[in-house]
Amino acid sequence: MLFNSVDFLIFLPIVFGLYWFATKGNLKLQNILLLVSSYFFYACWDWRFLFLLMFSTVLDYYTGLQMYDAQSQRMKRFWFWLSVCINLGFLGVFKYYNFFADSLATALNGMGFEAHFWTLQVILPVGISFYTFHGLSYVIDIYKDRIKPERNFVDYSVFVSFFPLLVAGPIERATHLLPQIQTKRQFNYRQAVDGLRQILWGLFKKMVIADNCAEYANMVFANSADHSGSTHIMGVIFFTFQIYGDFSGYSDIALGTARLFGVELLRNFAYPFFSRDTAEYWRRWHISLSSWFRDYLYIPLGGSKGGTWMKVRNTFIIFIVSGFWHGAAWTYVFWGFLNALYIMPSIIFNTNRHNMEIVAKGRVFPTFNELFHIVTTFSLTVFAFIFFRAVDMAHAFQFVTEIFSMSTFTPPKGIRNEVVWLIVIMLLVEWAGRENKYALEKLGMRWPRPLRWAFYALIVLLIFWFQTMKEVAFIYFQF
Amino acid sequence: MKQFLKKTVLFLCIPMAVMLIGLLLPPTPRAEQSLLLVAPIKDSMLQHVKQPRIILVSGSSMGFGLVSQIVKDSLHRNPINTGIHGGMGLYYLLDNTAQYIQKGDIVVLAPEYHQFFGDFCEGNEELLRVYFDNKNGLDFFKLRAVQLKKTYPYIPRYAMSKFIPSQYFNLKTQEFYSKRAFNEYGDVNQHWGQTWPNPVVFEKIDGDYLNTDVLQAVVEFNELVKSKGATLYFTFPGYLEHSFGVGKPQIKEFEAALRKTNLTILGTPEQYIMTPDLIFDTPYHLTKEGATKRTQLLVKDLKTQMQKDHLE
Repeated sequence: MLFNSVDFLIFLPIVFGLYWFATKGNLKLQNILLLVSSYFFYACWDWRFLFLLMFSTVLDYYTGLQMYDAQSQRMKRFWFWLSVCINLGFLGVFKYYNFFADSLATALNGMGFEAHFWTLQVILPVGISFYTFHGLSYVIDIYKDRIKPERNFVDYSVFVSFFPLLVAGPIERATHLLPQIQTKRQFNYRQAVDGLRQILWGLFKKMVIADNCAEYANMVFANSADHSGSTHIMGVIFFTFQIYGDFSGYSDIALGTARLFGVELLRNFAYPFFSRDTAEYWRRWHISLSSWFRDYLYIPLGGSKGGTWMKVRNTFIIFIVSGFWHGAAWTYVFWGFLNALYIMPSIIFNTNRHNMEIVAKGRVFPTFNELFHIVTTFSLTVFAFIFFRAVDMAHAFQFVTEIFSMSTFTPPKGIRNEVVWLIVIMLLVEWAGRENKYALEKLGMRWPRPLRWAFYALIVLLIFWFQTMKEVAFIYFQF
Repeated sequence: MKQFLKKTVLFLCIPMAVMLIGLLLPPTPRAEQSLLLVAPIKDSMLQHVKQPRIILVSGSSMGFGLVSQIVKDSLHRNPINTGIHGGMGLYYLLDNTAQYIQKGDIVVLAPEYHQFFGDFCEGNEELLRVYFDNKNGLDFFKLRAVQLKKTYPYIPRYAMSKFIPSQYFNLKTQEFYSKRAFNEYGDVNQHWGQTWPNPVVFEKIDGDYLNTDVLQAVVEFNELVKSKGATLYFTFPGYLEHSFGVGKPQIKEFEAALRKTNLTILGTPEQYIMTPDLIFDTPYHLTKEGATKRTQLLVKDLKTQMQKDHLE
């Protein structure tokens, strides 16, 4: 069930109505309802994988308790590693087995050995990377004595499978979400209205920006040999806006939906395209994953405490692992590597925390210097996305070669002007709202209500008009 | 909570009202030029063309793929080419034709391969537009449930189109995609003698599964045709050789399933493969030479079968 589907349009009001009316504010009933709804939501994709989700939930719940109750450090370590190995084992089998089998076979064949490995004809369970990391953070936090395990199984299950975040995040932390699940929730008008506004903006970004950009980007990447260098450039720029509209749109819908149920999820995007350097970009793009890697990989590896060499090594590790997290392909690994390269100057010269505040705070326009840095950072991001989107490395390099050919000086073909205008509108709205949690949060709050409502209605009508009429799945569902 | 629900419903009334106004407004000037406008004209042909008749049913592959004069001269029957647009879906083509079939009619069904994969047969925006712009909009709601389910999401977009400036200004369109594209038999002939610089090439046929429901619908259509004292022949559309090559596994899967039915099938898919020089702008749209070749092949198959069935 996609957020941008008619099914969800029916599902959400039903669950919302039951949640606030049928449960009569009873926390236990609210959580049971959320759990059942979440499992139903997940089963709509493939009910068989529901058992995998349930198994993962039971595993982390049980090992969490065992770790906490363990009489010795040895037993605690045993339960910890059991959970980590099984979680990563599932992820490995479903997501990475074929990649490793193919890569090893290719390497051995290259050395003159004849090697064939069985490859698995398996479907990737939707959201497995997200709920695995979700569960891992819980287990690691218990192991490190940062939190106590949750003894209520329903509450813990809701933490893992709360439907707004189940399939593509944000990757939550027990310290943030569990207390909310354990606390009685009462309907809050402002929070609910805020949620609807955020859903509206998320739908605009997904159905208007991402899906329309996807048509052009797919056309260019599918037949890249037929297009000029300039069309390649436009293709990857459109893909960049597609993936942003798609994932940040998804995140806005997820956060907005959660708000309707009185739950605040972690923020996942903070206007990354207005970043002035790559370090700032990564503090603003897929925040819940970046911070997960920071807390559970970068810092345990020594973080930035061991001098420049240690920082450089750890940065490369987390970016390459982050690339690999996205998909079992060398293109993702290279994308991660490229981003690590981009961030290196600021790591080496210790300038990675220079741009902590949002750009042009309190001003309408950025300075020329800020604009220059924004455009430079965006260009680097776009270039890296060639590798993210390409089918394989050969395709990516062919794509790059075409960009640096003479055909780049010919006009690009096939661009729909209205899509360019829509991107401009999105950027303007996001710029206007960049000091807020999401673009529409305070935009128009001082306008008279008829004008504000007309503005929201215009967004609804733009969605109706520019929707591509295909229920295009969110890109991050495949991860 | 009451305030929240009240305001939410009140707000939703704004886009709903805009949509309702859009639905009630007359068709836009652009819609009035569309080739879909011939749907009622073709219905009228089905009602009024005299016997002996031969009705040719498909989407644009028939509109752009037939020279009806050859059919008329060779078979001495009055041809009615019903082909307009594949996006109306095969269910519509079958159900709409069924109501006009008369005793003694020969019906030739040659749907695009795409109609048999996924949910293409249920129609797209074109189906909605046929009803709301050209027929009685209320009849739209009498369509099959699957057609309604597939096409009702287009309603907001259709309603919104009434407010889009491009629907009213700068209306220049390709003649062969306008209501003026058709000759007296229903063939698209405005493009005859023209070439198209970069024809679209289909790769794999969209739709990830062979839709057996639509095959069953064709079998039921055959029974209905028979019960009205008419005859149905099934044959294949002209299709670009490259697209045929890429889609061959799907086409063969479809053909195998088709041959298990009791339909009378004329020729083979391979017989109707078209070289690029016979293609106009898409793999199903033929130039005059392509349409002539396709018609000659069809007539040959028809003659043989009609002799067998004593229909000459």
